[in-house]
Amino acid sequence: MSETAVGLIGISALMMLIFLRMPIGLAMALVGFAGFWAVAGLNGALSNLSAVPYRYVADYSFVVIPLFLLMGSIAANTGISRALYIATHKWVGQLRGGLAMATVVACAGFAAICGSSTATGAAMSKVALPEMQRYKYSPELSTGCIAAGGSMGILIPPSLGFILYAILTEESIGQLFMAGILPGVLEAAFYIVTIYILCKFNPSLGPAGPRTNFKSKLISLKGVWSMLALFVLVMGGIYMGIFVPSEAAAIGTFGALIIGLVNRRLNRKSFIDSLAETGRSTAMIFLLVIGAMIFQRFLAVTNLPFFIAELVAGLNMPAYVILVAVIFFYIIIGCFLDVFSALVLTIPIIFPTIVALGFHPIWFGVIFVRVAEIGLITPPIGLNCFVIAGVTGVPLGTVFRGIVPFVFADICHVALLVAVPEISLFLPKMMVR
Amino acid sequence: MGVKPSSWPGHFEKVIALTSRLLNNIGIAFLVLLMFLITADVLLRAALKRPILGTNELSEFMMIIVVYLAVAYTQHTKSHVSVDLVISRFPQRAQDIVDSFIYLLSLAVCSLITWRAFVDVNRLLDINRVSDVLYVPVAPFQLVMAIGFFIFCLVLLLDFLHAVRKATKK
Repeated sequence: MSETAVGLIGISALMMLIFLRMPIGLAMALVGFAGFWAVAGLNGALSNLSAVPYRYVADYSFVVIPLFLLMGSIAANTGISRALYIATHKWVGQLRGGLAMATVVACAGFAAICGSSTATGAAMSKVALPEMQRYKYSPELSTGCIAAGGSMGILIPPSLGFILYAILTEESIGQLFMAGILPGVLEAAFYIVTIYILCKFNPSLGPAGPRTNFKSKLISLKGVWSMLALFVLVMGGIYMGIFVPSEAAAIGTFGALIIGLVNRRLNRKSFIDSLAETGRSTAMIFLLVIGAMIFQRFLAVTNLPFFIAELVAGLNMPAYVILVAVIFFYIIIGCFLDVFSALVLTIPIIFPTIVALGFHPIWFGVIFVRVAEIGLITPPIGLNCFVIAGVTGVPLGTVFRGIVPFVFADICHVALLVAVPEISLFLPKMMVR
Repeated sequence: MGVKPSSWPGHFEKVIALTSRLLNNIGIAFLVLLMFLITADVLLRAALKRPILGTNELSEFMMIIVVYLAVAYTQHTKSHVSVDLVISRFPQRAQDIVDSFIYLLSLAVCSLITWRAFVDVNRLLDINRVSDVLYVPVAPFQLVMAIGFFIFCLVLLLDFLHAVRKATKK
């Protein structure tokens, strides 16, 4: 039996175990171990089992995972989401659909200190939804804009999606972070335009909120400037080459802690809650990472990823046609797997093909994360919609109806990012290294 | 779950739950330490041009502690990622049987990792491996990883026993 055949059998076995509800990290470790044994012998397979879990945790650059998680968690527990929403509400609330636009902007702001989409969605739905209900916004529009806005959590840095992508492909975390900024801002703009168009044609969806004077607009910024300054410090430091992402993550977490203590919003209980939550997510992500790495070593000895890359390159099809096929594949995958699982399962197989086709790895990272966002809000397992329905009690069907216009915006946005790679690559290229 | 707390499986269960939770709390305490260490390193470098020697390798050791002391508790709270989409449509009895099988496989792969991790502890002790800058012995951290996986195995064993009991109950 050829090695590529073993590789294909391995992938099928892995799929089966995953659909039988095996924890994905353990399933990848198991198949990776058995496959490596079959192709390259038992000794190597056994030594992977201990070497990989040690090596891929004991790495200085991976401290970004627990630290950025902790930073987002502390920020969420210190009421920054409320302060952000109050501020954006004061600034754009008087427009038609303004509260929904305010939600999108507040989501983008929250995404700038939190690396997770579901956390962003959950935090914003607690503060933004009651307000939109008060002003008689349609439930579809109000939950839809939170679900879509929340999905920006993994595009706007710090982003767990980029961190995992960087680990799997050995690309730079800092460059990926920078690459996510402009597409993230643009995405918020797309959502705002969507809301504007929706409310233009049907004003009853989102009536205008109260007018506020300039003074109260300025006062509303009091609660948010510190966190925004923190974002500028963290990302600016990476951009200017003053510190590496690991240091930025520690500084950012420390800063969030200080802000929480000064504001007196962070108490003992919420701090411990943040830590516990971070511990769980960290172990969850690293089990995925080590499973993926054991599996990747198996794939490497089967040569399958390179075999696929050669095969695809030999098709003589325009690269962009293949890219569009890959994007559609990811939209479908996104319907069945969460972002992190989709990343660890597919990137090791697909990445060599993307590079062989001549696409920029950083740019593809942006496209991947952006497409994965769509999976977060589309049925059957649009995780963000579940979270929002769970937190707010709005029926899931309503949330799913609400995201339809935003998915149209998503598709236009992805098309633009594909057509103009400079949107993603401009900042990473300007970065001081 | 149907087991009297006074019987031995009940005790065993309690001990595992407490142990995994305790380890988890130790782990997250190290996370706080990790944050302070790196922050202090950056600040001292900026202010006095004197970074803390060996910050990188100390951080790496702490990562081992943070991650592997939390891994068992994460299983205890069922927070490891899995795909529910297909299997949740099966009849309950079939689900219980599949669950038992999957827990057994998970236990198998975890046990293998635990075994290899302990083997490596011995190997590292034999060659007396130390870190590059501060000459900290590496073996104790490999041991932390081994213990973390060992407790992970015990949690999986409990999950397996529960699943079997559910599957065989009339």
